[in-house]
Amino acid sequence: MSCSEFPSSFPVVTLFPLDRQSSSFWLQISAASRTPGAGVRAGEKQQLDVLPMRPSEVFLDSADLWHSGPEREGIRVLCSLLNSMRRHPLLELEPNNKSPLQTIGEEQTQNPYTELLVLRAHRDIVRFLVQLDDCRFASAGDDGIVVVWNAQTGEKLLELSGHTQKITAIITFPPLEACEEKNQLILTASADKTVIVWDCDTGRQVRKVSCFHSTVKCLTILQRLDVWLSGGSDLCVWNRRLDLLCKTSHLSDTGVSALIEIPKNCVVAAVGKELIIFKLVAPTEGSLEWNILEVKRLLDHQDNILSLVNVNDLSFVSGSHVGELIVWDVSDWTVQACERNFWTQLDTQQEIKLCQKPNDISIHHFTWDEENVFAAVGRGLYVYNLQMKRVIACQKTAHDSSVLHIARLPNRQLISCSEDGSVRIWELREKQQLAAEPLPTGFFNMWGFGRVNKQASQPVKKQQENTTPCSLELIGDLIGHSSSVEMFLHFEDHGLVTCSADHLIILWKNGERESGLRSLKLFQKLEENGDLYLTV
Amino acid sequence: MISAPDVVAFTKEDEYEEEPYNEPALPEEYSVPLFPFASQGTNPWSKLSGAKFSRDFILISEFSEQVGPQPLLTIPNDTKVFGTFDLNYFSLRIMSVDYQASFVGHPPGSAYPKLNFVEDSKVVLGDSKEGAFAYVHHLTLYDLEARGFVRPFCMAYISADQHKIMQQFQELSTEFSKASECLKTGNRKAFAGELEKKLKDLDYTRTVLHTETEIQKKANDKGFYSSQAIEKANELASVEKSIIEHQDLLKQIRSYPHRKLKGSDLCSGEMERIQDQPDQAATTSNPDESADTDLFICRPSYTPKLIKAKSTKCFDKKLKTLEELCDTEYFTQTLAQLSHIEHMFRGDLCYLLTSQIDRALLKQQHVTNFLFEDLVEVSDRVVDKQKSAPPQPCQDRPLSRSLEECPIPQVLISIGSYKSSVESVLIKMEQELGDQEYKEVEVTELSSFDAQENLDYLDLDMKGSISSGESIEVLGTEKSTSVLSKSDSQASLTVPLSPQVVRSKAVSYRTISEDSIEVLSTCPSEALIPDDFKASYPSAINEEESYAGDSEGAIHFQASISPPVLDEAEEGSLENTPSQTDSSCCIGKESDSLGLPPSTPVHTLSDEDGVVSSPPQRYRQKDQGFPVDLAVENAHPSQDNTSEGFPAYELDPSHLLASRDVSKSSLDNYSDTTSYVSSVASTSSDRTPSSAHPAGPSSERHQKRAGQNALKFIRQYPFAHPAIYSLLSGRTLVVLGEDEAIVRKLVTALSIFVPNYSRSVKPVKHWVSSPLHIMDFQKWKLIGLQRVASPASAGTLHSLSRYSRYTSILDLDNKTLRCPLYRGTLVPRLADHRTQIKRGSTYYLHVQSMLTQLCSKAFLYTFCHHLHLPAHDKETEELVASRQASFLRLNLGLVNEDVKVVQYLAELLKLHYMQESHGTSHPTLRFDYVPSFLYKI
Repeated sequence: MSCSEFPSSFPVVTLFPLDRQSSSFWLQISAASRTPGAGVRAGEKQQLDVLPMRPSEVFLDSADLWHSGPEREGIRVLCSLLNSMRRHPLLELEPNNKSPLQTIGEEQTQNPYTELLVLRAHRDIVRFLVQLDDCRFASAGDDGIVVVWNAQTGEKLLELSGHTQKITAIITFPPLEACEEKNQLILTASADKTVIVWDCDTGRQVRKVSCFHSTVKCLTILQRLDVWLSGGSDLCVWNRRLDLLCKTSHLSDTGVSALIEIPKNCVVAAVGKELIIFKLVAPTEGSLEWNILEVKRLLDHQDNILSLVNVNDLSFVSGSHVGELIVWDVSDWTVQACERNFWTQLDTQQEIKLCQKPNDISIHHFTWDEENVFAAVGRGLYVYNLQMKRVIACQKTAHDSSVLHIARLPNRQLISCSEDGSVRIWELREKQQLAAEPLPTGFFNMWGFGRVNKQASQPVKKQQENTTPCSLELIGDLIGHSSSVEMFLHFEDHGLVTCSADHLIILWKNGERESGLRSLKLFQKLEENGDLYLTV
Repeated sequence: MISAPDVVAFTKEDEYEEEPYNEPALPEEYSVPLFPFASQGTNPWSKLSGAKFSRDFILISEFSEQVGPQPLLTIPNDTKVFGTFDLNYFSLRIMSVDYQASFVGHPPGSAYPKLNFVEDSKVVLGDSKEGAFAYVHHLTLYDLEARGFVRPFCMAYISADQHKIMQQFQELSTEFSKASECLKTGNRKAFAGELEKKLKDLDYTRTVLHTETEIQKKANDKGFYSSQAIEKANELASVEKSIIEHQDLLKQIRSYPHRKLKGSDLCSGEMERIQDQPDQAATTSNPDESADTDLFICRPSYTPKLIKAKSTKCFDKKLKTLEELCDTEYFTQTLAQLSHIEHMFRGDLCYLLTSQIDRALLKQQHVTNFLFEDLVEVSDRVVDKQKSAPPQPCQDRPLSRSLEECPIPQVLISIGSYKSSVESVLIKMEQELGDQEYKEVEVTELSSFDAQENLDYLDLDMKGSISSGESIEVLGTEKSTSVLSKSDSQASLTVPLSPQVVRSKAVSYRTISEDSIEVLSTCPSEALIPDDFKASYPSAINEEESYAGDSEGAIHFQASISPPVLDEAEEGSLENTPSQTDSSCCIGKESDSLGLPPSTPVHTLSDEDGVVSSPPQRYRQKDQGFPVDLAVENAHPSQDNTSEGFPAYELDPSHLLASRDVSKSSLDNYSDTTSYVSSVASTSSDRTPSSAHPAGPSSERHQKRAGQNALKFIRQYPFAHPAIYSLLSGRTLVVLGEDEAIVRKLVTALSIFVPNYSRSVKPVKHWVSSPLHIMDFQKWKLIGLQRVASPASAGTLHSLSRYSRYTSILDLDNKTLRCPLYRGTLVPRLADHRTQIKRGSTYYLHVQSMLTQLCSKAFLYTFCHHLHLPAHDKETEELVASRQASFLRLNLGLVNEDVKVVQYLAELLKLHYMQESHGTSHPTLRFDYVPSFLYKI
């Protein structure tokens, strides 16, 4: 009897989209199992030399394979080709990364998710999940339908179909207190150049706007003004009744990729490499017209901006395709801090990778709390402290491939999902410092633990980089999806919902809690049936 | 689940003065009477009291008007069975009980011969000299050529064990009634056909005579009639009379179903149909007369014969055989039913009683029995639900009924699977009851007590009549017994009469009556009498008792000849038993689909083609979809493959209704070899409705095989325990191998350890070759997976390793097992490789009883409130958790991983309990983050 893996090691070819928008793909040959001690990564280096292209990645020309002819067939052929190639001794390999993927064994005592429920309704990639209330959520994806689910039972409540093409944005429009119409609304934008407003209690299609010239890629709600904005090639402002209030001129062909609200009736739109600040002029006594005015263009990013979030009342953060993270002041739109080279900063021990693809450092998603911005950079996770203006913790290869979505849980935990089909749960822990280190004076550590952070006062940058004060510890992973996990949603009471390119939605639940709930229900039912006898 | 030896052992305990140990004794109603000769120290398996036959058999005899009582045939038709037993003598014996005074002919005050639709009588008859005891079922068939148009027959179940007959009286009566009803239905058809022929003959004769008379009239128009002419005229008149008589008879015989069905809930239109169908099948002539033409379809015309004025001597003519009397189709069907009866009651009384109790108990455990029981048990539940559902559209009913209750389980008979046939038939009986008042009476009481109570009553009766000398014949109508037993069964619901009491009484009368005992009862063919008979009944009893007074040497209760009262009573009974009657009328129609297993409830049949239109999804076998699955997944084996990996059928269960493939594949799955069973089932499956599975999973043969293979597995693999633990704790076990047959065999064997989610799904997939997916683990708990050497298998193995945390993997080729550690004590008891058990069926029973224990633990655990919820508001969760843990450890005696098994079962119980009301609930995949180990031989 021995503790080993089964099957020992099966390198396998997997297919990932290069990024979320384009239709090119790359294939990855990876070891099947990630458990420690697999020891198959040896000898990877010389293979890099042998082959002109890194063997782990084969670019597929989208025109040839994906879009022409029977697409799946093409991929199938390629995969079998690669699978046969893999028999070549030189190709018995592992993917590229030098810093090995952190793995966790089968024993995950801190992982609460011990029950899962697979939900199936979609017929294509599920890209979006939005929470409607405490126990409902909606999912949408490339098949153009929106499905409303019960997060507790996994019951499919409604299926909203009206779009003819894939859905590009979804947002909920909470009901106004004053408004007599209490039902919650969902707005969906689709590649068919329409926006539909749904009543998510009845499943009714409330209204539909189809006067767009381009696909609406983002939607945002200005709750305060009771208006919503749509961002495509231009920016439009709408009221609840879907009257077009005002719009900007044509901004760009690629369109607005992200849109957030900032104080003083302003919005920030990410258009290509630029951030554009618009001011919304509400009707006053003087003029009854709504208006939207371009106030400023911020040109600090070198590449396309992929993510944009409001962090707190003082700042917002934007991240670009080449791994630039810029913290902006919310009031005067100046750069508060800038982090440009996540890779070089932390990889000082290694040579700078020349062939580093932008994909590996593009910032896909942010999440934040009071002090930190958590960034999904390429395959890694970085924690950037706003006060210290530096990265305090990182996990360079948190996943096998790009991290698509991250979220912070209240208990200092972080969840990330990736194109490699897994979801991982991390915990931000303070590193155990060596007791012998001299304690610097004066600087009070941001975590408020009363302990002084040694690193914060270290003057030498290199040292600082090499030892981050905190670490992200992997405490569990969720494996269920067979393809890229696009997004997830965390319910305080019902667990985690993940959606994936394999058309599935998985509801991950805390098995113990569910068991307790079931018992509760059982005894409630017994009581209803009059079968419950309590002995005193 | 409760194996016979267990229970018998328990009953022996109560012979002791004091209880040897403190465990509460088995409740009386669950115990089986002891072997009656046990006190004399005889071996219970020795042949009883010198019977001359080796085992029970069924004898059909006739009281021939030419040669007297004669045996016609035996079932099984094997001289070895009855050996030196004197069939002739015994025929004489059983036929000499002249149970009916009814007659056909000219009753006083009636111009025409009257047909009496006599009821069958049921007699228990013993002959201690021969060592034979028999349940005798008398019936009368009509024959135009016979004296008084009647031919008395009887079917006898002959056994050396008197108690078997007595205790199984009710069941025997039910089953034989079905056979009898089948015969009689066929006979009515044949008789009607015969009458029609005769009428044509007469008509023709009349025409001929008429012409002759006319000719004669013309020939001598002198104004006076020659003697010849007068003779002709007389002849003509008698022919006319005969025609009228026969027409009347025809009307009577055709009116039979109407009368029988009067007051039933079927509308008259339906009755026409019911009557129609068999008619169409059986009618052989094309009647000219207008009255009933519409009932018959045109057939090639029958050439009438001239009927001679003088009838032939009755001894010259050859009497019709039983087969001729009943229409071959019905005859074969009856034979099938009889051999089914023979199978059903084969074996020791103890065994029969135990299995009855067993089934009754299982029904009581409706909360837990879905876990490990065979799915056959399900059917009655489904049927119950179906029955309570609003009635189906009229035109669908008769056919579906007839199919549903077609009593001939030919498939089963050919399998020789005794047990399953027993089960299915019992179920069927209950579904008949479903309509009636028995609904509220617990089925348990019905099957386990009623028979005994009835017999008890009979015993008492016998006591009263011991004075009648050498041969005691106690005759009683079943009606009266059932009424009385019903009335005291009110009490017995709470205080069930123990079998012991019955036994002692039986013994007591036995000692008094030296020679033989005969218990006669007459009852309508509907063997099961509804309670609401009571109201009208007492008068009938009185009337019968008046008869009883002047019978000599025996007390005769004769139900059928007291028309006014009993007709009412009969109608009353008919109101409540429509299903059986109409089913019997329709049997002929469906008798070509004999492949039907008996318990198959056909849900809705569209009447024009007889194809299942939409049965409820009961037995959800996914195998059907497997080829599709494979094809799809092969098309894109990359990670993306799931994109279209779910064909529509998986999303919508109703796509799966397709009957035959399902039943076929399910059968295939359960039979390791290409057996007669599956071939029969698959060939007959063209007409087999969807839920035709019962023959498969539960048959004893399969259990035996599974048990045997499981035993082999346990002996062969030292790591059988963790593998079985995986199954019991709900971790999917993947059996990986190259050889499909071997994998399937092992999967079948191991499936006896797999808890079911619900009544309808057995979470076992016997053979897959496409990569597994997360859904598969949610759906299946035992999977046979193909190992392919080609590169294509990489995907399969990759998915296997990717999802390794959800699975245990048994590699048959390398003889390894990868699964979590098991250190409990439960599985070693369940699967001991040093076990002395050698036979597959024994082991199967052992497993079943162990699993029953486990279920009861899970039940206790699930339904103890304080183990899951705080007893009061202030209690913390930790307290509850510790209470839970200590309960599991101390009260249930579970150690280490055993706890997880019970917890898993508890979750299933909870889900199932909730599901019962909420309809569909998704099964969730539960798993643990525990390390796995690799076991090698």
